[in-house]
Amino acid sequence: MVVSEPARQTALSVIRWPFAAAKSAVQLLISLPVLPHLSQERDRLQADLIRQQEELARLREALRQSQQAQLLEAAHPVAAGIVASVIGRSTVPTQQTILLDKGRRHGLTPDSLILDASGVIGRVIDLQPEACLVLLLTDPDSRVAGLIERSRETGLLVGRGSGMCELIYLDIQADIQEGDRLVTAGLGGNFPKGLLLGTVVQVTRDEQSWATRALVKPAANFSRLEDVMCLPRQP
Amino acid sequence: MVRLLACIAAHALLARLLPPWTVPNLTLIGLVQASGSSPGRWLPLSLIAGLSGAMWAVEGAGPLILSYLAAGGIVRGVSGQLDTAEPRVQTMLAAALSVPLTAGWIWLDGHWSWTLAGCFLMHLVMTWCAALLLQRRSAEVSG
Repeated sequence: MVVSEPARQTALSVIRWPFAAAKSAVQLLISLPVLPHLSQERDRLQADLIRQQEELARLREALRQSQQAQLLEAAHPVAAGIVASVIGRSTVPTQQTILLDKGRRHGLTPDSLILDASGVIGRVIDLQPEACLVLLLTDPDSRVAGLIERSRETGLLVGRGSGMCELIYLDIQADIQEGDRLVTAGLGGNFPKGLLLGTVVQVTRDEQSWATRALVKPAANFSRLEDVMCLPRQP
Repeated sequence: MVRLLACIAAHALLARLLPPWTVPNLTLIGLVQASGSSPGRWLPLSLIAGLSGAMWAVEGAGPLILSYLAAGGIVRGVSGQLDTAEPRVQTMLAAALSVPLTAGWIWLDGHWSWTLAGCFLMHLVMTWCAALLLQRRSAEVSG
């Protein structure tokens, strides 16, 4: 070898710089005529990207709604329900109501039962052609007949306005304890029997009124309602 | 009017996203600000605020509208004594009016419990904080 290896490497690395600079200059000269097109191309690609991101967001939302609907149908397989989305909520904290995007035109009836995957949410109280107002279980005006799943004791579930409900009209010796699951009693035939309402968290036995009251935590999470299932009232 | 409508829209949006008692009463704040700035228009403003709340009412829509009418009327009355266009006065009025208004709604429902008392306090604190924030914003915009 004429030149030693370290000397050759040093020479090559020094020579590389002017060659690289020359190559960059030639590339720049070549690309000058297409620069305006590149700018247009970049704008087009950015617009494409934004469109695709919007499409992706739409598809994700559609997938989420589909999964929610599947969950609802899996939770209540026998019910021929209508899936609706929550589009509004009461601005008065003592009035616990929500607005759904389905109404009379979609087959809903007054007193239709509203559920989500975890249990009963409430019932329809005001019906419009394209929307309906739902009274949540936690509203003080809400009244639903309940049944303790374990002991078959029945009572009336009333809302307490603070996110909790109370089961009243129970006998002093009623067989009820903390952790018991409360389901719909199906009394009156308006609602199906056995749909989960909530769980008993506290039992109070009052000797004076000879009655028992139970504090019930609703099964549904009312602060995170998106898609729900509506069960029209049974004829 | 625009300020009140914006507050009602923001109130509806927050109510959709947050648990009921943690949502500040932006409708009341908007009503106090709008009526305070133009006391002569307190009646239509109060009616709009009342109707926006009554839209969600199960029962007691009348008392709900009346409560907002009373709030607007009080702002109109106070405007004779104080400069209700002043953001600080508006904040104090909104904070003061939120107490009887919310207590009145709870009284109308007829249910009282310690849990509800906690919710009531939380709602008041949120409303006061929102009133203060909006006062600062108003001061920034006008200043």
